Amino acid sequence: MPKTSAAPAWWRRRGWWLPAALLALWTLSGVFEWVRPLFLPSPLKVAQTTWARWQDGYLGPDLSTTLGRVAFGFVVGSFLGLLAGIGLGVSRVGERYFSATFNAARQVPIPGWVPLLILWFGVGEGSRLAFITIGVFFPVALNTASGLVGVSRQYKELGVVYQLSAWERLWRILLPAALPSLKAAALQGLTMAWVSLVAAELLTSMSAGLANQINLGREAFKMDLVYSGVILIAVFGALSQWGLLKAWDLTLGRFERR
Amino acid sequence: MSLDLGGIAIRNLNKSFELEGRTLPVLQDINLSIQPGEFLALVGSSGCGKTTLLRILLGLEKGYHGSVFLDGVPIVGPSSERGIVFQEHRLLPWLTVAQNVGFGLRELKDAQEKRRRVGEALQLVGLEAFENAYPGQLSGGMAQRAAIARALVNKPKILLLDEPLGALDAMTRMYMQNELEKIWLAEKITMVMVTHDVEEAIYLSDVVVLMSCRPGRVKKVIPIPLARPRHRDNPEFVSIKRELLEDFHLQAKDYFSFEI
Repeated sequence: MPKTSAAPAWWRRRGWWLPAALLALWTLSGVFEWVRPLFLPSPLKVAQTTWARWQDGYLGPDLSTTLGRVAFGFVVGSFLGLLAGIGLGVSRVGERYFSATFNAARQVPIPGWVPLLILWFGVGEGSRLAFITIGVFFPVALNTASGLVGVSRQYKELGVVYQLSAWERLWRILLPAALPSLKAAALQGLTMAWVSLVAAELLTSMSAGLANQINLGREAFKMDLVYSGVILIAVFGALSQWGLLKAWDLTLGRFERR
Repeated sequence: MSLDLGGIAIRNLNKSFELEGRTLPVLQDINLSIQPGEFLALVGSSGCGKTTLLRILLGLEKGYHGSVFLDGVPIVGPSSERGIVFQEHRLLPWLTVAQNVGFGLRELKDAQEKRRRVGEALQLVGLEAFENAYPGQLSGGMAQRAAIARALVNKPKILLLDEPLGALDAMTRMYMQNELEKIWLAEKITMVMVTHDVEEAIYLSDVVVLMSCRPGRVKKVIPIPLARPRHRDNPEFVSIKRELLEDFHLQAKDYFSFEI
């Protein structure tokens, strides 16, 4: 059904209407000064600030630092979370021994880890990366485990009938069957990577990064800096999610048939 | 033929389940011999243990008393010499039909030989044009045929069928009964089918085993001496069916009657 391609472009892009309307409203508010510019600088002012920071060479390092942290936390946290999720979701032994510990540990709100992480990894980059990794780890592990546990007995029996090894059962039946949960795990992990990134940059003082830019703007009461940081995080967060979904569809999409 | 036998001997088989601390007998004193190349149907109302018996033959069900032999060798677990078709097709939705059929052949490393065997099995069930289709694109009958191909691709001595046509509509079901008979005639292997459709059992089987309920026992072993192809309106067919249904209903009356 070529329904979507037949629709006009303006209708297909209806997801952009709301952001465009908000931007227009924000611009009008700047023009007519509905709110004091000190609290709500105009979009133009925010764009100028962003551009100036780029030209002064502040934004580039901030961006690359932030994106690097998110990427590191997401990749390492997802990998460890996947392993833990497999351990909890596949073997009864793993579930028996570790689920109590796992469930207790994941109840600790991530900021609760900060003092410990600083103790173990120091006040520098190490503890920030560990912080983001932990934030990603738990949702990925949880979603992976519940997806694997939920694979229907009928498919699992197929592995027994065809005498697959434990590895083959995981690789050929369990993981592909649990793929929708793994996708949810990856998406939630990515969201948590950004959430923990902001928390990590705000909680540990004085480091480069987009959230740190927000902090600087807040301390100097320069709202254009704050808005610039918030919007950049929103844009790059959305881009990273879009990229993740695209990459997922290209590589694993064919396993998602149901 | 003498080399690839496929005869089953079940001796003094007893099986019970533990339910809330109570022991529930499921199968009691089952003694049954299935000849090589025979088509045997296990008939009985639901809950009479016929599926459990089939799962024991498959090697999925453990913890029973008595013994089960295939050509004199005890059955201890699943093996490629016994193929299975479940009531649900259980094809993996992310694999094509050909890949699903090849799933049974994973020990075969030679890719060309694998392709040939898969092609052969698909041809046997008439699905050669659908090798690249996905299970979600198939009708119920086609999916079940693909499942039969997957079960046969290993050249098993025995094909176990657990109500394989139970989920199909009446027309497809009759058509698939003919297909199944054709496959049985072509492959000349032992087939054991669980069904609660008496007509289907008589139409396909050399021997029908009627099981009684709670605990499941062999109530009657009825040879079907009719020539093939069989016709459902043949007077002999009809009288066998009437007799079997009577036994069936007697049993069902026990099952549903209770004192007020």
